[in-house]
Amino acid sequence: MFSGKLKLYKTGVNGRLQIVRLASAGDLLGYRSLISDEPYSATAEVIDEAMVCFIDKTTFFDVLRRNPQLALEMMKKLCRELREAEDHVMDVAQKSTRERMAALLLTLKEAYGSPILGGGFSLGIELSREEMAEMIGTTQETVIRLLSELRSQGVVEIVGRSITILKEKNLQSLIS
Amino acid sequence: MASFDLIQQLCQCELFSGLSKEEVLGLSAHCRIRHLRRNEVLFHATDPANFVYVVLFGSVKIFRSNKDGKERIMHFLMQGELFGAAVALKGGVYPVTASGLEHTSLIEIAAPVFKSMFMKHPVVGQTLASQMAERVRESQNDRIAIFDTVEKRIAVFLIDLLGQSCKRFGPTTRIPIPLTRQDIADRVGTTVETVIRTLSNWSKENLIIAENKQLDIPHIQDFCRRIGVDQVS
Repeated sequence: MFSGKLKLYKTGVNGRLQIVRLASAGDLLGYRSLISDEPYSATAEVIDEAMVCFIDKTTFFDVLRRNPQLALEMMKKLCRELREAEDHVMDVAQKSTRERMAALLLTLKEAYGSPILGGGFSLGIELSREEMAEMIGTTQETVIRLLSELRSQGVVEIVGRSITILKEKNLQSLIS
Repeated sequence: MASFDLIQQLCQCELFSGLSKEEVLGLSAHCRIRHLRRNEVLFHATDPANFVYVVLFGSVKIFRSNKDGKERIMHFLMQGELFGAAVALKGGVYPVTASGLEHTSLIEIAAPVFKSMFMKHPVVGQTLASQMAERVRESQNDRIAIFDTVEKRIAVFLIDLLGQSCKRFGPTTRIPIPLTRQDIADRVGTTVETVIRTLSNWSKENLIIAENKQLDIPHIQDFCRRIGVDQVS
């Protein structure tokens, strides 16, 4: 990806959507399905006007074969993705929705946050409540309620889809 | 096991199919064969990732434990599958625990030796990448499955396992690894009682044949139709 943001989601047997990851500039998409020689297992949809570069399958494998260091980097990437997916399975089984919400806000801050004057971080990604629900495995109504609670506690500031984290420590204490 | 056997086993591994006889001989000096009993732990989560393993015979379960010590099985690995490799390549500790699901034999390879093979032989990287990609897909599907009914979760797990087995060993109706009801419960995140009840119902409907730890799905399409799921690739 050159610029913009995409979401990758899967649909469960009950038709429920689950966002498996977000992607932005520098991220690589589709490589896992190429490697395992299977159809794409997730749908990629733009959430913020994006520009992407397509690399055809033959070129991809050719470069990979000729460059072991690149192959090594791909393995590290696969390893990280596997770890994240396994973490998520454990999280949903163990953590409360409130904890998962706090963890999502902190993850978004790490990936897209930028510091603002007076302290705090503005999240440089605008997700709908529904998309946030699809990321943490809950309902849109629960996300609205949890965000509203965090706002009334002064932990976050919300204007439309734009979120600013004011008290990062409070979020961290929710998940520790 | 004699060193002759080790070399023979290495030669038969798909993973090492691109290596010359001399290279296999060189590799054998840095490998050994390990045997595991059922439930014997090979490595624990947070142990240093010093070795890479290939399943020769039997099967292995890969699991994590939650804060209450309850197991959640992430993957079952069958003959020919490689594990511990990606973390050994990047260095660090194993993020999961591995133990034998039955009497199992493995090839154990020192991490630096594996890394040098990986850098030299594209076939090693391709085999590893393909198996890793399959595990990522499995875990991502688990993320969605959490919101399904337990019956669907058990069904999708069994269909997926059978699909993997067919892909690897050719057409079969038999789940290739011996699974206890507890193993299934720990894999799909439910209680053993629910698994017993579900399998018993399916047996009565002749959808599966369950004897001891062996499970057969004689008519996979009927099974998928009854549960209301697609046949998982």
